[in-house]
Amino acid sequence: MRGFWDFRGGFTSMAIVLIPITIAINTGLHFITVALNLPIYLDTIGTILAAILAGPWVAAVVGLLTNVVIGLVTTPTAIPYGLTNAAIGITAGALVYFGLYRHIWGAAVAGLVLPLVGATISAPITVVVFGGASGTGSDAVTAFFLATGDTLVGAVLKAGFLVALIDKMISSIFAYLVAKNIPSTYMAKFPGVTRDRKPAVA
Amino acid sequence: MAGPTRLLFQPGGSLIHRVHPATKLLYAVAMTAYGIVLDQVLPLLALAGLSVLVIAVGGVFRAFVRTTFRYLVVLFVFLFIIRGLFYDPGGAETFSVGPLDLKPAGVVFAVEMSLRITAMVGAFLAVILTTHPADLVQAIEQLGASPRVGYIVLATLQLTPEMVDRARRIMDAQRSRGLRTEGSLLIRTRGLFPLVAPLFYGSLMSVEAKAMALTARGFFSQRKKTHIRSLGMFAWEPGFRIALVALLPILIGFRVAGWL
Repeated sequence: MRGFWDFRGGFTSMAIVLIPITIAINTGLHFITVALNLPIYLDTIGTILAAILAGPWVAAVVGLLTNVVIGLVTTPTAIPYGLTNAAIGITAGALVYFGLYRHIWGAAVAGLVLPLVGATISAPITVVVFGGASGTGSDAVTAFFLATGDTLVGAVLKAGFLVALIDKMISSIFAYLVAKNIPSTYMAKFPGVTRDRKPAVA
Repeated sequence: MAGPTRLLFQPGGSLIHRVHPATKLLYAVAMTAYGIVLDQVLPLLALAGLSVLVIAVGGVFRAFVRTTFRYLVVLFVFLFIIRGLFYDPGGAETFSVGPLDLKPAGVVFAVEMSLRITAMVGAFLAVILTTHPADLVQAIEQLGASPRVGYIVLATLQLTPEMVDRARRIMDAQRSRGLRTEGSLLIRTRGLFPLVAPLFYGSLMSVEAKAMALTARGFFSQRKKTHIRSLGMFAWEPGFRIALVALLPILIGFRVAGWL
């Protein structure tokens, strides 16, 4: 059984094939939310599911490449935020490692932790790379916080967290519900990793 | 949705199309580095101009405008609002245009940043628009990346349009079974899970078959692999690469000396 920090051990043939599929799912989900005209993206469900099935490092690759691919096919400015999604992948992997995805309440707690990490990594990218704007819906929220007297970093940070909170909460719970229904015999074929070596999802 | 269903690559025979992908990648990285080093309106304007010129020479200017320009304009408008109207670390100095109180330092910053982003995004788009993804991946592999990286990137680009089609089919199927996908925000949100779950289960089923197919074709073999495509290079390209790299310390020197 491998440990949390085992980078190479996660990249089995099953995991290598899982990566493009979860990235494409992230993009497909993005399509669904756009088609339903919802103000959320859900494009981290694939990343969280990769964390459940194949551990933090595979999930980090899924997160990073999701943005690279979105950058290659539509919006190149998404690429720097690949770092954010890589961090979300590693964080989700850690939450899985400590068994949070065994219960729906654990998945809800994860839904609070993930946007916190996401906003913390995104804010410096928005400020340093793009000077404070990101070209997304959170810019209007940023302008609001600036108008109420916040600093630029503070406003970008708060706006990022608020906009991501609902998105990541729904994503986290959906990932849990999807993973719960995967047969355990199929789960066992993936190189997932938990601290107590029991299944990642109960 | 026109977006992720189609690749950005535009086939063509221009000079830019025929340059080796590694040279183009180096150009994009170099342009990004130049953009970070420069910080005055005029040099940045020249850089953005050069970036757009390369796109025009590649014959992909229309594709650039169609795919990215609209998105960049939104970004620039928000940049202008956030920096020009609300945020200025420099001081309280403002001037009025109609009903707006503008902060001069913020406006200059927004213009510089917009030019910088145009230069960088334009440089990368020039590469993506004129290089076939398979050639790009092969060039990256020749630079020393693992074939696994190549497989992941290419398979993703191939699967993405497929997955968007699958999402569309699932949506139609669930609608025909009576799923409500229109109405209030709550109704539309409740309709999400019946769309998300089939997308996952359908794709997860194919993982094992694909993994076995790769193994059976010797993908995980340790021996050196050969390629079916070959990449050509112009005689001037090695020199051009050195020039791209050499320009960076020169620009840094000019910046430190205060000439730029």
